Formats: sequence, structure tokens, C-alpha cells
Amino acid sequence: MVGVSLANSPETIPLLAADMNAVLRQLLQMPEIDADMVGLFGVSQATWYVPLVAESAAEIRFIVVLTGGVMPVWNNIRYEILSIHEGHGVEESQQLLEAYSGELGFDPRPNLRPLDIPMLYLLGEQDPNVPFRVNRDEIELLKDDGKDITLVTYANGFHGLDGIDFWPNVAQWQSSERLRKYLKDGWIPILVSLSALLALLMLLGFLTDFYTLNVKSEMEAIPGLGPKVTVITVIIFLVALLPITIVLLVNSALKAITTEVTSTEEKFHVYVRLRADLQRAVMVSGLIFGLGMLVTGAFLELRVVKVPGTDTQNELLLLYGAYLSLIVALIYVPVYVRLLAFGRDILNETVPLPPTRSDNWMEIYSKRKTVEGYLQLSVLSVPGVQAMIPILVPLVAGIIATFLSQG
Amino acid sequence: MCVVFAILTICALGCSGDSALGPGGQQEGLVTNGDIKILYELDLPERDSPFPAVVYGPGSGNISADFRTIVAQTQELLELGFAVMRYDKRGTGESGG
Repeated sequence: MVGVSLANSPETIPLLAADMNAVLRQLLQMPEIDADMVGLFGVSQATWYVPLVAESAAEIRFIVVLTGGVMPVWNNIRYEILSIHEGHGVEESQQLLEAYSGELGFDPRPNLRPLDIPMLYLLGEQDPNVPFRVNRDEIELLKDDGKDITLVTYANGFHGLDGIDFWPNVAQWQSSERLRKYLKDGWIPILVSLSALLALLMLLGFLTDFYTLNVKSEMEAIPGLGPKVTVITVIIFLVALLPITIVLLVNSALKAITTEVTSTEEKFHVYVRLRADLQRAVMVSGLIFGLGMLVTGAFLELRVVKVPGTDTQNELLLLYGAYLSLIVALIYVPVYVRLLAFGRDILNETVPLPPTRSDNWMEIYSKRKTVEGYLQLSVLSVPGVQAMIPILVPLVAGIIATFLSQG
Repeated sequence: MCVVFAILTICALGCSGDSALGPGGQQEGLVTNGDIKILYELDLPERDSPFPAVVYGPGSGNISADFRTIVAQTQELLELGFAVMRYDKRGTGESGG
């Protein structure tokens, strides 16, 4: 039973929190632990002291609470008296509880409000110890307040969710939170810096070319062209940062997910999502670079028209095109290969290869082919070929620009 | 420009290695909170470290770390890949108070 007044007094709860905190300190010293993924798993009464520990320990990155609410202690005690001792039943007790205006006791909400970490609450709708509805409503309010709370409820769940397999929900929540973590913090600053460096180097290279190829003096013949070219170049490569970053993020998410997601179903969802992100990103980066090529071609053409006697430098255009295609391929292909390997893992988990002399070999083989087709694992599949197109776009754009400038 | 291209190419190729090793195992020990000694038990999952980890916060009543439900739930958490630190609640098992 949750509510025993002395056991949950405003003096006792902080003591229980301090005990947990002492154990947490010990845990944090273990070298085997990923310090970025330490959380609290609290059951029932722990719902009151877990937020207190999380509030005082910045190391805590998530909390999971099993059949515990976010309401004050006496809200629970009153409900337990109604549902258990007075035998009103779960439904009626919740209605009667709405009229309760007595003592509140220890309130976990002030400890919950400052928390900026993901929280998972698992509640049973038939729980005679924790009133479901009022807690659900209160969790909604906390969500509206910007708290990252996920509530999973079980229509037939009693206290402790005995007999209910709620673990798949915990696993799913954990892996999606983890993916979010990788996409949110940690990797982004590193990858954005890397992409920024990449773009800066390209920008420097292009601008150096402009000025070393005697372009400067020629540009002076066209008023206002120099700054325009610079601005356009800067914008194009800044925009190109985004898709490159996404490709690299997909790569780091893949690395994380292949070791940390255990459920095949979840892997499948992640695979589909990452594949879509990757294809979108490579498509956008190809288009941006292609656009960049056309702009460069247009600039060179303009120069030929405005400055008599200058060369169109078609070889340079083709070289840029080929180089940019190579860069997109170098960034994209290793990630795509990693994605396919992840997809093959899923295939092997879903339809494992039979022993060589198995009778139903043909049946399993055709099943594998179906799943393989769905996962689009073949490099020659439609998306595989589609993905090659953006890689070639800069080169093709270079060729087009060359033809245009000749015409 | 050649140098720039070379650096760019190296950047584009940049993908790094994976994490270190670590076995599944158990550890027991005592921590103190004021005058109270608390017995804890740490279980590690059967996979490579570093592990995500949780401290298990027990519910009401006199519950020690070896309480049947806690052991079962610890097992589930281990299977999800978490290292689990559970402890004898104050006044129970080998913890003081």
C-alpha cells in the first residue's frame, strides 16, 4: 500500500531521497556506466522521492515511474481510504476524490517543474492505490507546461501493473529518447562544426580561384558583380551545410542504434525513418550543389559577355562539377552502406537463414526476398538508383553549364 | 585549391571507431547516508560497456533489494540493456535505520 501517513511524511520523503542519492553517487563512480545515460526507475511510493533526487542531481538524464502519480501524498491516501478501506471501487472513489479539500502533505510537483529531462509514467486505470484520472490530467498540465513527460496507461492495469508486460513500452520509449538524445545534443555541435569547416574550406577555395584567375580586374569592369558573386557563393554553401549535417547525423544515429536498440520492430521503424532522412538529405545536397554549379556557369558566361576576350573556362566548370559529385558520394556512400548493413541485420532477425538442408528452404527464401524488397536492401532497387541521381547532379549541372556557355 | 580539396576529402571520409569492452557482472557494497548504512547491489547487462544505468527506487513498505518483484524487474531492466543499482531500503535487509 502506498499511503501510510508516517512513512510518507514531509520529513520521511527527503530521507528516502537522500538514501537513493547516496546509492546514485556510488553508481556514478562505476567506470562501466555511461554517465550520459543514468536515470531513476521508481515504483509506487518512489514517485514522491524520485523527482526530489532528480532535482538535486544534475547527472540524472531520465526517470521512469511505475504506478506512481504526480499528485501530493494525501491525495493518494484519501483515494486509498475510499477505494480500499471504504470499498467504493475505483470509478466511484475517483469521483468522490474530486470533492477532497483536506491536507495535501508532501507535493512532488515543485520538484518536477524544474526538471528538463524525459520522464515516463506508467499507470494502471484500475489501480486502487493511485487515482488514475487526476494524475493523467495533472500530467497533461505538466506537459502543457513544457515538461517532457510520456504517459502510458493500461486499461486493465492494477497497482504495480502485475501481470501486464509493460516492458516493450519502456524499451520503445527508451530507444526513441535515445535517438532523440543523439539527434539533439552531443553530436550536433561536433557535426555542425565539421560541416562548417567543410563549407568554409570550399568557400575559401572558390573565392581564391576567383581572385587568382585575374577575375578581380575583370570584375571591376562589371560594377557590383564582385560582391554579388561573393554573397551568392556564401549563401549556397551555408545552405549546403544542412543536408551534409543530416547525413552525418544519420550516420551517428545508425552507430548508436545498431548497438542499443534491441527490439526488431523498433529497429525497423528507425531504419525506415533514417533511410528517408538520408535520401532526403542527399537529394537536397545534390540539388544545392547543382544549383551552385549553374550559378557559377552563369557568372562565367556573364563575364564572357561583359568582358570581351575572356575565356569561358569550361574545364574549370567540369572539374568543379566532378569534384562536388565526388564529395557528395564520399559523404553519402559510407552512410548508405552502413544503413544497408543495419537493414540486413533486421532481415536476418525477421527471417533467419535456415540450416542448409532445411525442407522449407524455398519458403523461407521467398519470405526473405519479400522482406528484402520491403527493406529495399538491393543497391539496384528503385530508391538505390534514385539515391545515385543527386550524386551525379553537380557533375551534370557542370556539363549543362558548359553547354550553355558555349551556346 | 588542391590543398583545400585534399583537406575536404579527408573531412568527408571522417567516420570513427566504436566503444570499449565490459562484461555482465555483479557487485555488492555499502554506502552511507548520515548515520545510516545502505547495502546496494549492482547488476550489469550482458553486453559491451558503457551501459545506460538506473537506480531502482523501491515502493512503500519494508522492501529489501532481494524482494521478489524487484529481482524480476531488475532482470527485465538488464535485458533492456540497463545496469541496475538496487538497494535495501532503510530499516530492511542489511541497511540500517
